[in-house]
Amino acid sequence: MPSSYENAFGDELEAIYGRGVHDLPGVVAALNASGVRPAGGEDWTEPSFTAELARLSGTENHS
Amino acid sequence: MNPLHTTEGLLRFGLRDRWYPLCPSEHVRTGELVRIDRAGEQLLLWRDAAGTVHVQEDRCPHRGARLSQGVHMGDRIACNYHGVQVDAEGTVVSVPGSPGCALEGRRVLRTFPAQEHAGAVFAWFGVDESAPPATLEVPAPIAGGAWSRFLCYVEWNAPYLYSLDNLLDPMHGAFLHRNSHTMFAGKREAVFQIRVTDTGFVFEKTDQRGVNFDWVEFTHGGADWVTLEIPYPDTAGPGGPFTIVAGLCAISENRHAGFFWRCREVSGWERDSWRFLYRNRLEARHYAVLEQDREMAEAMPADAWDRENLYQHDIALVRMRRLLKAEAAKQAARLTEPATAAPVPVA
Repeated sequence: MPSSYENAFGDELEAIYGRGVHDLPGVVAALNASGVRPAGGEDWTEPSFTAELARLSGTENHS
Repeated sequence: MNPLHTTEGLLRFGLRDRWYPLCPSEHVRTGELVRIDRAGEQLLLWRDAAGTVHVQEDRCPHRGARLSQGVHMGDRIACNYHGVQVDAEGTVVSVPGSPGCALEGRRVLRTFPAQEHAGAVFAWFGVDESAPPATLEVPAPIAGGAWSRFLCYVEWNAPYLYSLDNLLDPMHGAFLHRNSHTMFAGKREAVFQIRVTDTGFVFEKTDQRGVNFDWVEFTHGGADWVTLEIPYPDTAGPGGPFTIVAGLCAISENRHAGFFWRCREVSGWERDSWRFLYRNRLEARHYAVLEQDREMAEAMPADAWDRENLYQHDIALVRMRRLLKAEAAKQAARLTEPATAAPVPVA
């Protein structure tokens, strides 16, 4: 089961993408304008955002 | 008569000289003997000690007992009935009750060339089972590289041909899936054309692309594939359109396995974003769309093909059926040629 944080993160991402914001700086800025923060509560940066996505994306099996 | 030696049987269960996806790789766990029916064959799947998957007929060459009820011995299977041991090549390596009998050392268990790719087990079913298989060639989205993918595996209570028809019918997207997250846009009227390729054909709308389910490609060779593309809404984030590579395999006349590789050409953080959103919410939406297809296919009458009135949108499935029927007839003719093999002597 996804956590409430993951669901909220997904909600914000979909909303931001839905406004046509698809570039990394734009997405990070829009996330910071939202209520969703990483576990530590700090602002998103490009490295922290991409690291979080890598963590949440799951492993790939490209056999 | 063996239905797999008839044109009609080959059509219903799947043509020979094909690679078929049988099941997800994870269904064949180390040390287990897995029994499945596919493409008109009763199969045993297992992995040897090295993890290599093997696909054989689930039938002890001694008396026909189910090898899948036997014992996994690492590099061989022992039948539970009389202990006859058969290896991965289909050779009887030991008959414990009658050591030295003529069955020992003979290669008598039907064994199908097997491979794993993109998270699925594939096997080759040849018209001539002693001939080497064709190379397993897969569409680009599941070949690796810049594509990311998830495999969705389903089993439906419908002939595989209905599912194939459905995939070659892009127009149903604008109707059956009109309220879906991906296929709400576009025209409800369309003119289609067929474009022949080196490996099959593309069936496409002539006046709309990149809006709805606007084209589909049938690739026909060592395996049959259907590839299609559906544009994503902005909410799916950056990356290419949603692409599906589909492979089908009959389980019985009225049931089939469907492999839908959900793919997107996307890299870096965009790839991670799609994979996160896919797992968190998009898979459920895609699955709901697939359920609409399943409900339609499973409710189709058994004689659907006998009482159709087709129109211009159906030229792809007409072409596909003609192709499969012609090949099935050719294969049936080869398969009913008088057998030349000498009868097996009893020890």
